Amino acid sequence: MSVNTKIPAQFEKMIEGLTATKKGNGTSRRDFLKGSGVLMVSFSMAGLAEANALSSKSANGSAAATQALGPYLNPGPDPRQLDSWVAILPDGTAMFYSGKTDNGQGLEIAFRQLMADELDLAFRQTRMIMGDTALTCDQNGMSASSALQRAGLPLRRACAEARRVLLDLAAAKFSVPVGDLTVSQGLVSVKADSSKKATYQELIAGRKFNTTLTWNGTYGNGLDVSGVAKVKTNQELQITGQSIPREDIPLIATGRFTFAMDVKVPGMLHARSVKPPVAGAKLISIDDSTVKSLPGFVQVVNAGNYVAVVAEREEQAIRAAELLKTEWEKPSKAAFPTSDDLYDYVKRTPPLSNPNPNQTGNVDAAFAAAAQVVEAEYHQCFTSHASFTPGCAVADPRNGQMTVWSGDQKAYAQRRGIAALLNMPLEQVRVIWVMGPGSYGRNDAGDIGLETAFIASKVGRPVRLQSMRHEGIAWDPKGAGGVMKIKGALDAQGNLTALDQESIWATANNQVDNAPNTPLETLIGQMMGLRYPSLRLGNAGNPPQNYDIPNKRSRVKQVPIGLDAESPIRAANLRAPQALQTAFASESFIDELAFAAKADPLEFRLRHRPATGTNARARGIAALKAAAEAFGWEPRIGHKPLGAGPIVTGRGIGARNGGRNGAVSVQIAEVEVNIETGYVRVKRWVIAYDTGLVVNPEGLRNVLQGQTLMAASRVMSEEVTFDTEKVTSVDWITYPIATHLDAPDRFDIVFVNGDLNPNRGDLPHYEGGEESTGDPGPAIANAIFDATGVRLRRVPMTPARVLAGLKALQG
Amino acid sequence: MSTVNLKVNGRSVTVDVDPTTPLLYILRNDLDLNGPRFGCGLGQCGACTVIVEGEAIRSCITPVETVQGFEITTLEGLEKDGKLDPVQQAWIDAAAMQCGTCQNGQIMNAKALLDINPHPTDQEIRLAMQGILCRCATYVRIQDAIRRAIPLVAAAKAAARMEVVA
Ligand code: FES
Ligand code: FES
Repeated sequence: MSVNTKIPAQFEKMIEGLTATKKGNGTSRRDFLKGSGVLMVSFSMAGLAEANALSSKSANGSAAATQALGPYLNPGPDPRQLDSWVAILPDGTAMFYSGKTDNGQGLEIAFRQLMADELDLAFRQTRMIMGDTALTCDQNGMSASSALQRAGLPLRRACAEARRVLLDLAAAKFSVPVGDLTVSQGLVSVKADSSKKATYQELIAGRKFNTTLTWNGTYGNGLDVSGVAKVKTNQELQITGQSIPREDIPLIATGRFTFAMDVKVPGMLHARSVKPPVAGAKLISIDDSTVKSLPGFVQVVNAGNYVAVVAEREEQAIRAAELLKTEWEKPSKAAFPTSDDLYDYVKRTPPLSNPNPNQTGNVDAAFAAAAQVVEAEYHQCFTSHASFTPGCAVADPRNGQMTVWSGDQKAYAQRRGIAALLNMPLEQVRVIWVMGPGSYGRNDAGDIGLETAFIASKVGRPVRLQSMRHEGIAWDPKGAGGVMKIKGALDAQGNLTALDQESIWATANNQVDNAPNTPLETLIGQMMGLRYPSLRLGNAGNPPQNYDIPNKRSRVKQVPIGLDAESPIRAANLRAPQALQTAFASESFIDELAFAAKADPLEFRLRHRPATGTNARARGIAALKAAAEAFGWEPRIGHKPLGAGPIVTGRGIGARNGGRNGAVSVQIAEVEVNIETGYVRVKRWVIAYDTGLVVNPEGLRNVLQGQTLMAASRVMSEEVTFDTEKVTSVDWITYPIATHLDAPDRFDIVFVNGDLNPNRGDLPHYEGGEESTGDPGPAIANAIFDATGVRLRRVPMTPARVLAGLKALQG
Repeated sequence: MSTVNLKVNGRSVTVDVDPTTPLLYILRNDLDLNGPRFGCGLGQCGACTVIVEGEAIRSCITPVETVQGFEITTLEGLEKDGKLDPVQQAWIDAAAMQCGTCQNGQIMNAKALLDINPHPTDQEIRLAMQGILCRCATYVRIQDAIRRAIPLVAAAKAAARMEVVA
């Protein structure tokens, strides 16, 4: 073992074989950059090992060692240097430094499969460090299920270039042309004389690659690099396409894994925040007399309306937060409408943004000529990320640095936010991503890193801050709520000739925050009084028009929710932002049109050929057909006659077509509806998914299953409720999510490759997962309609709403 | 503060804490057992589940003084003599997780279920597990893992009986 007395097992294997490397402790990043490749690697290992060894109490002094490693590069490692991406370690494995993060999707494994293929290594010879601002380039962390899509090719190109350099070294060593060499599992040999061979680590011999890549000048999701070498064709990839198991699962299943909330730094204190009793309240006074004498109490930290308490032990901090006396002044007017009033509120509120509609064809003429006009209005409530464990981070302020361990999916954004909040140069701030709970977008982890760093800066000692459950559900950024109105024109043959849509979202505010890039966009920044000069627009969408329709119009308006800052109802990206909301409307509406046109919903979709663009159309049709075949779809016009019950069944489709980063998803749900209780359960799910090149089939299946059931949870039971002054859904009772009872009996997933040239060697990987988030809502709504004739146009589709619908039918 | 004696994973330990402190914080912060974790602190999610005398309980709402003298098993204590518990093995085989933060509760509750009812039906599994939440909604895989665990648990028991007979 190298630098620490006790290192969490997930990093242990990374560190094995590194004993030959020099320790990185106390050496600055600049020295490393001047030094050799091996030094740089050992720096990385030391940094990460220490970072994560901190979970162990016996990690003596390693926090200080980590802290001593600054100053850090600004903005970060240079994407143009191959050495920023790949290193060959002394044990013959290759390390890749990825600016992406992985909260349980198995991305690390998928990346390493691509890496192994491009470098001609066995899978076990690959390693990866992700999301550490001191070690990895700024690739924006996790974003939109698109890591493989966006960062896959740059990774492959960097690895291909590294292989090229290594082969050039071998060619020089053996004085043969590169074409005379062969390489397998990191061993390069001369084809004609297998006694002439050398391993990668012998060839690089502790030097750096010193190779410059072409960089597109972009950081974040769009960062791209390439070298001289070409990537392999898909046909040449051998490890890619296998279901290599995740290496973290055995560690998690045995309690050996270190999550962000498990990180412990020697001498660490515990903190808890104190939230205002109502939204928008102003702090008048703090009376710490009730907590001062508590055992372990350290201090109250306060700035503006932000309040936290710090104690020696965790339970002491919780107790102090409960007992601290704070006095608040309520805002003079209602903070927001009630959640029941949301839909009327957005319709009657003057929009902040009301752009001209997008239009193609002649919509008015098509409606004037229509044989039938169908209209519907859909309502989407606010939903919470509600990450399973509330936000948690650890910050160490020693040695003039600020080091933060955090599960936030965007380490670089958090680093920028922390530096700005604390007025520290970026060179002194390092954010180390450690896996946290599923974040599903801009969850509460985006706030907590800044809060923890702020507290640590005030206390001067390492601090761990964790939110309580009510903070994780009531105060996290939310998936937006709003209203979608759609009108469709059918001609005499029942063909759809025009669509006219208008959506109004409560997304305009002063705190639009999809990453903690600036304190302005975090709760603590707002509570400290930071404001943009004016209201801003959020991420608002219209129902996707996934079908070939000659005449279309669509308009999106945004209204403020009321309280425009420090609000617990702030719209932000939540898993497939807006896709779940808008697909609920668009794909429910397609079924409503099919019903009016007396057509089978599948036939109606196929007839209107999904999406434009030849490839998208072909892929959309292939996915529809594959799903229908897997399900055993029987055409039916109209819904079933309502059975005697109590259980009736039905089936419905939801289909999206490349709306999010190129993937195509079709889902069919078969539901049971209990017409006495209104309880709906999906018995069976079928998904047909076209993600392009599948890197790890089992990993993708896992993600699709989870995405689907979580999306079903959001449309079946979740609603952020609020009165005019606060959020009232604060825990798992008041914010119920799906449980084991909601698991289907059967789940079939079909991978489709509907590309016009499915065997092309450069078949891309599209996004992997989020496209499936839009389907469950409409699939379930359409299935409930099929089973009962009840059309639900508001989520969540609760038993009470099903029963009300049945009553209305009978009434 | 006072002295509390605990038996955790077969080890006797003494901690000096406020005896009303929830067991969860003692396990995590004093004994460095990070398997159980904080999900809600309200007894609603199961993240903090440990097994006390064969029963799955929620350590976030269990004052440490109330479990003195009882045998407490955490996720870390399921392995015996370097061998995984069959339930853990089934979890690995089924790749039954996404983020994994809820899986302590899932595994510990399944373990307690199978100890009491070694051959649960699908519906019994759903009912027994319904109070253990998973935000990543990996319920299909978890239930698959439990079904996989049934024969593994039976085989392990049979093997243990053989040893006793021999
Ligand atoms: S943390 Fe104990 S039940 Fe949720
Ligand atoms: S696996 Fe993420 S909460 Fe269950």
